[in-house]
Amino acid sequence: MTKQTFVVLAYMAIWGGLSLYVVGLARRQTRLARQIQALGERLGRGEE
Amino acid sequence: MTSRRVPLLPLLSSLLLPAAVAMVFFYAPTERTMGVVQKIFYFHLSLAAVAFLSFFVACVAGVLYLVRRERRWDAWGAAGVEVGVVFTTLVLVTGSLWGRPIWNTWWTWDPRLTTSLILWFIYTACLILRSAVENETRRATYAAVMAIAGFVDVPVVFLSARLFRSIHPTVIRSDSVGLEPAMIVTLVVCMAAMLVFWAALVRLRYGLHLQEAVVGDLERRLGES
Repeated sequence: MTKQTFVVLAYMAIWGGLSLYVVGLARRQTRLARQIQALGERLGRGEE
Repeated sequence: MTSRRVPLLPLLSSLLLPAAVAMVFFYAPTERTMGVVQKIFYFHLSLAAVAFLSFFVACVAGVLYLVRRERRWDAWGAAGVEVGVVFTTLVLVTGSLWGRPIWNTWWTWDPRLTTSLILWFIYTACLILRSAVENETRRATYAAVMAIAGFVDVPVVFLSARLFRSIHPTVIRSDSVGLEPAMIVTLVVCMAAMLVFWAALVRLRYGLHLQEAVVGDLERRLGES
């Protein structure tokens, strides 16, 4: 492998890793928002 | 009237990060001995700096949680540890990719590398602990203690290449910076970009932790009713 290959691999690791983490956080946020809404609705129905 | 919050940090980092990468490849000169592979250094160091900052945030939040017992400090602690582990993982990976063509090995038990790996293990254990303890108060207390205790390794990592015999380079010394002016400017831009991006990530993870707590509260209330 040439030196250029190592540079490309390192930058792929950085941006790939960070992108995956950001996507993971965004998915968790969407899931939690849905969960909160669903639980809130269930609680609201229970109190009625 | 509704007010819309502008996502300032993500917006700023989406401008700064591409600019920093462009500076690494088109502005910073190629180092004479190592050649193009030295260009890993700018983000390797920036990632390490913000990883340390993450663990500092987790440590301070841990102390504040133990003193005040407020949920928000546990949330800051959780955010600091998780983001810190992500960044430390990338530091280890980029370090290995930098070391292979320069030291002719993917890994060596050098003091800097070993203490960094220990740091990764400590805070990964902290993440595992968070997912293993059910009781919220106990989980927050254990995680706070571990975040504080784990921070002892951060100055050890920083000083390891200076105090012990190490093959890891120390670019920034107390008396000088072993870089050309254009390299210093590039490094500063990379660090600033990574700092803004890190702040956006920690803020986002903090918000998620609070949302998780809300889900926990709602589930408890549903269980009681």
